[in-house]
Amino acid sequence: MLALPPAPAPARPRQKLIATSLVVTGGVALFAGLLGVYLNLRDAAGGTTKAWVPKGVVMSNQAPTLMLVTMVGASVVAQWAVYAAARDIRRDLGAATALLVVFGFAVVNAQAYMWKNMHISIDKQGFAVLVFTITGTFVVALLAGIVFALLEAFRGLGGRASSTRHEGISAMALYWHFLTVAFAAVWFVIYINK
Amino acid sequence: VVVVAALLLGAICVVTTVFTSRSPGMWLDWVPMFAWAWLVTGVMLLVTLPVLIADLLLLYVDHRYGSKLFGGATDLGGYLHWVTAQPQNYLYYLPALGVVADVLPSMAGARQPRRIGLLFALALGGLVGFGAFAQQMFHHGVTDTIVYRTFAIVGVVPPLVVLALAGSSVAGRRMRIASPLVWATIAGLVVLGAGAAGVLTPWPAFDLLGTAYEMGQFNLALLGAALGGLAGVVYWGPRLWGRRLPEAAPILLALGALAGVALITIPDLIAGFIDQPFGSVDFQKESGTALLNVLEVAGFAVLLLVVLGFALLALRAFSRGERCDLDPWDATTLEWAEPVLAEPGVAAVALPAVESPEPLLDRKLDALAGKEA
Repeated sequence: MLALPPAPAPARPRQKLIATSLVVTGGVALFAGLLGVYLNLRDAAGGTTKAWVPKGVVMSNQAPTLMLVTMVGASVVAQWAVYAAARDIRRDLGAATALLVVFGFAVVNAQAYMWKNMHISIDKQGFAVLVFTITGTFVVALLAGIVFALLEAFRGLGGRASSTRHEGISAMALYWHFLTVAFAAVWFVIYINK
Repeated sequence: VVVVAALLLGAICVVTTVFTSRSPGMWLDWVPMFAWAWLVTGVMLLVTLPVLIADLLLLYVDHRYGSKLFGGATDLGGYLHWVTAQPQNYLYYLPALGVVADVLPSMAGARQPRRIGLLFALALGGLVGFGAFAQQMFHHGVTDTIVYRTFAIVGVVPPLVVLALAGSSVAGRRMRIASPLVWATIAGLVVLGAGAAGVLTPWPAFDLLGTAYEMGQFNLALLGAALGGLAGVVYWGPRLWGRRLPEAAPILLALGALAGVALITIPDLIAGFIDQPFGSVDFQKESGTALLNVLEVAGFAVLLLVVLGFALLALRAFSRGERCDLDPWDATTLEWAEPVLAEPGVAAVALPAVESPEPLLDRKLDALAGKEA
């Protein structure tokens, strides 16, 4: 059996960033699938808001729009965390990830408020099944983002992120950008277009 | 949902590994075909299986709370049919094509012929394996669309190209008929059968949609994938466990597997033409398909015996069989160069430097030239 000549040690692979971008790809496909079914059934029901949304359902635009603004803010803050990690500003990294978690919980809170005040009944309306499943899936993805942010915050503040090695923070920011885009799609399809 | 999520995590691990953990110097178009096939499959699973999760979530929530949307459990199979049907099932046999594309040239001691053609063929296989759009319960008439029919026709191209190119490396060479070669060839032929069967499915003139023909095509795809997996075990087993299977018995088992697959799938394909519905099996004499269904059951029995025989043989040979040379096939792909993995407790000292698509073959040819000189 022949051996090949040894190679010099390879550069550290960016596994976490690449794996996260693959997770994001899967996430995009997940929301595309959910929203595709929603739009398909809406179209089959007549394609108009009046024909689709059951009577008595209240879907204001205010809270969802505020949630979208918060998510856009979260994206900016996530990028701030990357900026801070890339320059070894640990205090800003801590502040950015803390703010990210607060923004995340604010959106979860607003979604819970929406669920409570929409006056929809999951066991009586097919429309409610779609709305609860899609928004519920988003909340689960958001909670995963909060856990990701907390983990990277602990790692970063514990000295595992630096100007030369902050791949985890970049991966976390990428995931939050995905959450923002996913919510923008949910916001438009469910709350604006209805 | 949990199972599909686990599959997705597996796909993420595989794709990340291929992207980030190649040997130094190995460009992405130099990776072994098996790794490339898994890369393509993994990426395509990542963009299709989440759609399955979306379907499952909606079906579950609806089923759990009143069944107002999808009508409860009566037609769950209809909503999930696209996962097993073509073109989605074209995706499942891509790794088997990767095995074929690696094993045949390697066993012949030849270079990958028209490597770029193999890469594109496997990538095309991934592209036409995107089946998430073909959800007939949500998109009525999707099987009549030009996209669906194009995918059905193009689906036969990847197995055809891979078999032709990999086969051309074997043609004209004097070589031993070793068990990996037989297993890989049979797997490739079954996969080609799946692609060829898929060409006919969407055409109204044949009226095959919703018939047993679809089941036959699915069985060809799935069994082709499984045979490819077993071919991989036969080929890479010595590398993994330092022992090898005996030579004659695996070849007999491969021929038995081919017979089993033929008995399972050909009756289904024929039954489709005489309108036996998908998922329905009729043993009544007057049905006209009774004999076909009996043959299919016999095929499953043969295949079960083959799988059991293979499992027993592999367990015995890989655990208690005689130790073999670490490169028993005189193979040409990179994994056969690294000398340490088959010995437990011995760590690899360094990654090999890669300076061509077939560095081990280059080395072997250099050594041969040195001897001759």
